[in-house]
Amino acid sequence: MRLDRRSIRAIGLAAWGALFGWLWLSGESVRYLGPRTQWVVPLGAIGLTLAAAGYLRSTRDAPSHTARPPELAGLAALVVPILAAATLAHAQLGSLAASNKLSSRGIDPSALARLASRDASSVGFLQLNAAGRDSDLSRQLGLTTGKPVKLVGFVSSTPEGYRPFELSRFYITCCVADAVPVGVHVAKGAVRHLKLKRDDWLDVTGVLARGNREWIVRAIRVQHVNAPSNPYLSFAT
Amino acid sequence: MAVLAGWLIGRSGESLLRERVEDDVEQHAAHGSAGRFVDHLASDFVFMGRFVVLGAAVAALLQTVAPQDALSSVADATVLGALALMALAVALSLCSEADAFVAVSFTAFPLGSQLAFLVLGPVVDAKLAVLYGATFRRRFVLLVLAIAVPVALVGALAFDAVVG
Repeated sequence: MRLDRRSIRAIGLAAWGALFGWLWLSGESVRYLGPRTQWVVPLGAIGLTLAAAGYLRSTRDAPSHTARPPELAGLAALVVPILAAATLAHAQLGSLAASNKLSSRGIDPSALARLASRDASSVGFLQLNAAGRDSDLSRQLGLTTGKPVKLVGFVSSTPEGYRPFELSRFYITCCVADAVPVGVHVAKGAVRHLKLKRDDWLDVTGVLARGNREWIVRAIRVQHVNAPSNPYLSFAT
Repeated sequence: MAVLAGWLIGRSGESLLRERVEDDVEQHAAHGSAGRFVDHLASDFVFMGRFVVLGAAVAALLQTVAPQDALSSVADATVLGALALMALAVALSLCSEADAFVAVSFTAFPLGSQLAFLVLGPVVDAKLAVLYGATFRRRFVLLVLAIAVPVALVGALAFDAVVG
């Protein structure tokens, strides 16, 4: 089949319009974008679809020019992310990404947590992570030993034996490129024989205990659950 | 940085843009202002889209393989620390709406190094480098690098000297 330049441009616009439309209607956009940038998706779906239609209409009488190899390569490059999005539907960042992201020794994700926790009313990963090194914030949030907590997250590290494992969630600002893992250590406590592996999603109910400059959750009940439809949390700003 | 770059790069008066193979007879194939608008939009979308995709792929690869923990070993060295965070800014290619959230987490680094991360990232990163290479001549890209990196570094050191 011979593709002319006009067809390539129309296909490129329409394909991306369709991708944005699918992300919008299926709700998959939460796997790529934070709440502040979700507006891009409907705008892209409507705008690019209208642009494709407008382009075809406005150039209907234009002479046909055979597409050159760079233009065909350009179309191929534009289609790759669409195929990737379709192939990797329901994919999400997990323990591998968490281990490669900013971590201990000099780089401290809890500074992010501290920044976004000042006005927080509920206790989650962010607040527990930040308050572990901030006694003022602990008082402000009413965190005390024995306080009940409930967290849903994925297992990001599984040390051997009975040592606490790390339960994490990714927090995103604009999109998954800026995702920051925030973790809380969970002592198995009453469920010490529970078999866990990385990337297991868990619903943990427990009570707070003091660790070394951190709040630890001492588990009372741990349930395996499916990953939530929106696996990411966002900084409340 | 923008004023200095504009002044130094603009002095030569040479054309900085690459020629595009698509810029020929079909450029004005459509009729009317609305038609020319969507024609231009479609042309730019397909031309620049490939470089955005390539740049995003490079940034994703760097995010995946770049050992971010290695940075912490140079956190105490003022110059190396600033250079390390500047290299990270290039590798991560974060948008400027989100980079402050990431910068604030580099608590072991001086404020000047964090500032260098914030200043250099929006000017030079892996994603932009591909776009620059597609749009501008090589001389422009090299000049931007030669200006942006020293200015960000000197600014970071001066900031630490005054504020830190």
